[in-house]
Amino acid sequence: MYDGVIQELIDQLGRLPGVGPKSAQRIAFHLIETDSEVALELADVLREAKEKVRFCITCGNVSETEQCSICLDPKRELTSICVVEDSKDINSIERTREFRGKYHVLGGAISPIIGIGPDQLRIKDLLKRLSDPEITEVILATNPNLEGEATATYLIRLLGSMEITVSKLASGLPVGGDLEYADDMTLGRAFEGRKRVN
Amino acid sequence: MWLKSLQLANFRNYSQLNVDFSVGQVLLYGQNGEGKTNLVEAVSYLSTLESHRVSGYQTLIQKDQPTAQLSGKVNHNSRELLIGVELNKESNNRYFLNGSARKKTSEILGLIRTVSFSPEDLDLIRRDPGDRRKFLDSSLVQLKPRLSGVKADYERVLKQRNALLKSARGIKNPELSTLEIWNDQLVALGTELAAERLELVTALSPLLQTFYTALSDSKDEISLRLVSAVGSDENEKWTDIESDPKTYSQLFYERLESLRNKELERGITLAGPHRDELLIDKAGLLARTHASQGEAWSLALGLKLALGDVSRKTSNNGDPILLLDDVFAVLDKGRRERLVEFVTDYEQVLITAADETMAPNLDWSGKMHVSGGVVSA
Repeated sequence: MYDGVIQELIDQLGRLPGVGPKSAQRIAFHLIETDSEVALELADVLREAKEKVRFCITCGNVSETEQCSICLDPKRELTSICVVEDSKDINSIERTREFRGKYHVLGGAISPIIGIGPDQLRIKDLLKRLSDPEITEVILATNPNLEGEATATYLIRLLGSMEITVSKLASGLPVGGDLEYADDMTLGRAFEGRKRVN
Repeated sequence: MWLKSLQLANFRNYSQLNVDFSVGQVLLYGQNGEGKTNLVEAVSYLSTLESHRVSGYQTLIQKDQPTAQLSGKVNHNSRELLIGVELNKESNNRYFLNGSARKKTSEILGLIRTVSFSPEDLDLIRRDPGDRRKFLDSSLVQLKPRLSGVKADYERVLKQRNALLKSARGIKNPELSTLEIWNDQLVALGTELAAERLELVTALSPLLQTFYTALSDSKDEISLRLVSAVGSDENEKWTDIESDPKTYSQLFYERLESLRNKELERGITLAGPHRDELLIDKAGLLARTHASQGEAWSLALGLKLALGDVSRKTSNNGDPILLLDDVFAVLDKGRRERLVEFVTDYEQVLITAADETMAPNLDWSGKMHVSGGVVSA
């Protein structure tokens, strides 16, 4: 234990995701020992980010304006919406440049263990957006784990009665990999989702 | 297959250990509390990635140490593999194959196959259904490592579903729109697990009969039955598990449906493989309550020998390694002699005993003395 503000700094850093008590101590001492400019710049940008960044009222993505840059972009197609768990997932999909539609961030996945059910996710907002007749396709891009799959299944049932094409990202073999080293589950999924090529 | 060498660091009472084993029958002798069982536990851990003595692995790491390391060199038909495990108190465990890190435990599981015999084996016959389910599941994971994923997923879904049921407890119109989704996942994974268990039980059953007859000199008929409870709560009965997965999942759904209110009341999942039972019948009676001490031992040893047989028949890398921890001391003369006959044709058998006189008279390929965490030839 250290005295006063040093310990407080360590405790605060230790609350961040992925930072254990030892890392927290290292970061705290780095900040204290380094030029005061570096630490103060960090403090400033933290404050600024916290003040300016909020969530897009349409899709839930992080944004500095009321609506995010993707929702405001007139070049994006209005006909399809890609549903993701987290705003970080948008970044990953954007890097592929494969998708030109808009997004919807759920804010997590259904997981009763941590108290998240459909009501805790931005599902009502999604349904509201889907009442726009221009939207014809929903692409589900939740994580391929048990909770993500449960969320996707829930949405598939919910959207079943609507006149909308619902699709789900394929799961299968990693590019650049070897069949020999693929685990059974992945290979099984790849078989299930095989694609006709002629 | 056979274990060529074992290295331990900070594992149980071994601060540092580097020991070579020979193929064939190896005796590890020494007083109680000197580390014989710990040594066998280490070999078994490299094989199953769990301890048969404790749940969790924290107690395996020495008290004032952050990590423990285990590695074993195993010989598969003259090809050598080095399997390593690093147990960490504060971070995730790490797994290594020939020195390179592996992310999935299924890449490590079953590379060393073992069948272990210990005085606690009697629990298999006498104690709770949970002990028998654990025996089936840990055997399955060794025989088909992929199933470790199925089992982990099943347990995760079970946790999620239980959390949902608990959250709905005592609420008038609970939010249960997602229950069906968890049901689907539970039934799909549970059906797969049940089918694999049934396949194993079907393979074990006739072998158990053979070994039991030979070990006990009795003509009693032995049968293994994997059963599920079916029907509603008031009208519950055991029924043999269906070999047709479609029927199993249909009965599973029906059972969940009929237990719905009870589940909401108690906040836990009341049907599924986690509640199935392996019944061992001896001459038409439940062995759990009707077998004598000697009969129970013949059944326990018979089950392990049957597993050894299934394991060797389904392996491309030869026999599993047999680990016999202090079993000879608890058996009568007849059973000792007959057990010896069955185990000596395995490629490698590690046998522990308090002193040489307690051990059977075998053609030992190696004898090692275990004392205070030191193993000497």
